[in-house]
Amino acid sequence: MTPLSRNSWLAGRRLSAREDVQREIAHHLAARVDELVTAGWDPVTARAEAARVFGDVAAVSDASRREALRLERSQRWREFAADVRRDIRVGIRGLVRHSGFSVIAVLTLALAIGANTTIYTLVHGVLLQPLPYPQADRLVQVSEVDAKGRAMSVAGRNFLDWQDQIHPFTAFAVYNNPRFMSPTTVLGGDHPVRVQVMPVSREFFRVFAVRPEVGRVFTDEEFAGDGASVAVVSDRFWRANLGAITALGAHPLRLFGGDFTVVGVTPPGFDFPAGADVWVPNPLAPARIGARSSHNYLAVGRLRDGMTIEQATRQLGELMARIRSTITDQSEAANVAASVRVVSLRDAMVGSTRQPLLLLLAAGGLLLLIACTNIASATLARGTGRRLEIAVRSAIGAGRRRLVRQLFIESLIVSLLGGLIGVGLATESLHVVKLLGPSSLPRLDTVRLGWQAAFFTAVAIAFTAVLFGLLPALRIVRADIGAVLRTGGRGTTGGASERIWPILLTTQAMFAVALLIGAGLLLRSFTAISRVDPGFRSTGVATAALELTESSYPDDIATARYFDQALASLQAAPGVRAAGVTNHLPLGGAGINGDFEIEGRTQASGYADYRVASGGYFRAMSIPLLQGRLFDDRDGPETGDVAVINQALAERDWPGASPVGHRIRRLANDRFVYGDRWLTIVGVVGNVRHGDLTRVPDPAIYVDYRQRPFRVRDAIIVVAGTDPDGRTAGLTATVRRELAGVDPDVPITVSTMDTFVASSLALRRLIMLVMTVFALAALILAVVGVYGVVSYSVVRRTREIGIRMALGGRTAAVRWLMMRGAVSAVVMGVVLGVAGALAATRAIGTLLYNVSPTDPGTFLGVVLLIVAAAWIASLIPAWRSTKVDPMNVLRAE
Amino acid sequence: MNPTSNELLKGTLDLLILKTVNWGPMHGYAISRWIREQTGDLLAVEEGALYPALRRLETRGWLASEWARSETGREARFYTITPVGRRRLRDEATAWQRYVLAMTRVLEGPRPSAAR
Repeated sequence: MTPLSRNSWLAGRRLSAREDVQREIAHHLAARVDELVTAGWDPVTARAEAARVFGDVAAVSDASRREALRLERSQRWREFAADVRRDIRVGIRGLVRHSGFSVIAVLTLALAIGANTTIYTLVHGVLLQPLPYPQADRLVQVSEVDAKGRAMSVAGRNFLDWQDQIHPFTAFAVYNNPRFMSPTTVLGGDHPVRVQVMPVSREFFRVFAVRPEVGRVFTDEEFAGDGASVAVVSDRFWRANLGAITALGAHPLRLFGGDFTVVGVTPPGFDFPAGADVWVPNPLAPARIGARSSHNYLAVGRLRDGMTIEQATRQLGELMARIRSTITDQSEAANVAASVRVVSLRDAMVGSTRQPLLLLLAAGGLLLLIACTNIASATLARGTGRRLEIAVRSAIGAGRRRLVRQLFIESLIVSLLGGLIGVGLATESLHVVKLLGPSSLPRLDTVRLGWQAAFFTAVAIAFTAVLFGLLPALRIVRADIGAVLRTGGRGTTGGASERIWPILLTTQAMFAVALLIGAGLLLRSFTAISRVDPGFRSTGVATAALELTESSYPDDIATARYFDQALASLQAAPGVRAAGVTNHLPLGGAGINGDFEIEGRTQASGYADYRVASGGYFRAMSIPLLQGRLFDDRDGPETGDVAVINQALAERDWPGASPVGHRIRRLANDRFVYGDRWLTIVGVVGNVRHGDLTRVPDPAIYVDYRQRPFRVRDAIIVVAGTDPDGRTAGLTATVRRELAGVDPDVPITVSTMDTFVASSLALRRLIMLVMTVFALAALILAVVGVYGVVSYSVVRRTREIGIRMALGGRTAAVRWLMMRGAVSAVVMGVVLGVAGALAATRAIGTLLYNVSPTDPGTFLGVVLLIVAAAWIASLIPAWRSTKVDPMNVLRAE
Repeated sequence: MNPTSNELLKGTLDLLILKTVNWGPMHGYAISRWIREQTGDLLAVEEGALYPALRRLETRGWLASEWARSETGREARFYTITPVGRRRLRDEATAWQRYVLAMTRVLEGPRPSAAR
């Protein structure tokens, strides 16, 4: 074959795939015709024969064309890949050359993306991720609701009736309230350990559809009588303490003073509720479960298929109404729950964190936007410096698309680097958040960086690359090539592209203002809350929750005697400052309340909380005595009934006067048995916060336990220690010992008051800290942005400055000229940001305590802060610019 | 024309083409003629299979092609084998010979011993 000559029309011309194949086939046919003709055929029949032998020309040409197209496509891909590789190389070289810009850009992005990834992982792990049980969306938590609409835990007796009489659930169970439980010592494994032991009712494992890894869960028979001494353990416990043996029966556990045979192991990851490791049967024996107002348990159920939460709520509500109507004891009826609430289990666990977490997500997003606008303006600044380079390349023949692609790849590299570092930061941050402990966020232990977070990060990276890479790239490339080449790249650009700077600055300032206002409000709110006096002191106070069963303590005398002995021996024990008893702890949620009558007044007074306590209780909790006296030895079952009220009640019903000596009766719960007996008010004590530190304390009446012993069958003993640092380890041991000395068969659960108090603040603290970090970052970014923009503009306008100064312009005036644009852009942004914050007040309002979402102090402070920061940031480069010698500038031209 | 038409598998067609082109640059018609002549008309490559196969081999990178003038003066698309293609040819040829050996052994082998 001979290569085609230059003149051949085929050389250098790109044929379409169709043409190419057609020509090739045409050649084939012609060659065959030649052969036939040489063999003696005549041309016409030869052509027909050639066509016949060949076959279906159209089909062959189609098949060939398809292959040819495939070849073309793969060639194009290879070219593209080579181009991209080259662009990456060029991009990396460029970034290394301008390392200052690159480092700042990458770090800024790393922070912003890292923050967003962290928050998103938290949101996903806590809010979005379904609970790890089969068909977890069918699981619900049932709680009773008091007259004030507050949710309470469930009374055992009510639960039993619900379970018997209506069936909206395929499985329904109760477990003890983990807030009242503390780790129990368990022996029998390799060594004694303290783990969370949880008594659960019969259908508990059915609710969660738990399939044991080894052995079995409880059988129904094991809930008969007092409950069999069997236990189910968690996978974690089984591996750590039982050596993962399969012969479970060989290693009984010793707890609660008895031996429990292990019958099963739950699958890994199951530790409901609250990190439980051992479950034992709670038969809910009628003798033990207390009254309809003893709210001891939490209830979970698995909804039947087709049953909705609304239907279940209705059924339960109707049943409760029926139950209430059957109660003849008026005082008891008043304390049975007003209604029932059913929520999905996930909402019950995490619902309160939804709003704060979403707020953080929004804040993170704003931070990311600020970071992007920052980098975008820096990229634009660099871009105008590269105008000459780009114009030249464009003139040589690089297509617009290629140039844009190259610039975009640069920004993609920065984004990718920033994203990778950001993910590293996120991992670290998540460790820190987990260290803050489970009390700050529920389900924290299941939060981990999964593929969803990685996907989110990838999207964030792409988003930022487009935002600060593509858009500026388009602007840079659009510049008028001819003009740029003529002025050698040094001329000033047209007015259109100058408008971008103020817009960027305004946007940054707007977002920064929003973040700062949010953080400022949260900060003030948190400070206000942490200053709230809960009304008592929880440091160094141990608690022991216990229940006296009717079988062992059949009457009031026995009950009262137990507490008399317990308190006396505790008070006398070493290391104890004061000991008391109550039927309801502060911050323990809602309790019993109801109305009452004041002697000498015609209408019944309003509601008041009803509490039972001993004198030692107030002393142990450091609740101050404001008037009169506390319960003491003068008061007993034989003497006149006494009551102590809190300040809120005194102020409400005896404003300006002293209530001491006045008489009240028909207290809630008292009505049936003691309805006609008058109680004399002997003292007034300080208010104590109940549900939440942010709720106003309710009026409360305390009665002496010796006069109402049946009320303390189910009670908490509080013991204050003498340790000046508030350590309670020795104290809890003392409590156990003394109470065991009075009656070792009474099961007690020992904990500390500090545990109660800490969890109510943890979440707020976390949110506040994160918001503050974001806001500071935003401020820094905005300041850096302003500084950058003004510096850049000063550099560009060096000539103009020189001329103005040479013409006699005053330094101050020239300085202000440089600053004017930036400062007014920032002020505009501040105005918009403030307007936005005012409009968005509802988003943050419920998270604030004692601070209005339009708190003028915070707004004013933030505005001044940002304007001042912008002023200084623009002043510095402007000031430096006027130091320039005008003659130098002019000469350099 | 071929007296017996055998169905050619795609893989064996590739092998035939590669070997043929290995002798030197050829255009499609020449390849088809060469195979016909070499096998004494036992195998004839149907044109319908040849041209798509040539494109396929080119996509795989085993053949390269360019337009040039043939000995008759016409413009034709000539195919040459690439180094990668040569390696492929070697591998495929070895595999083919092993296959043939195995088939021969079975077809001409002794009667299997009676089952125990």
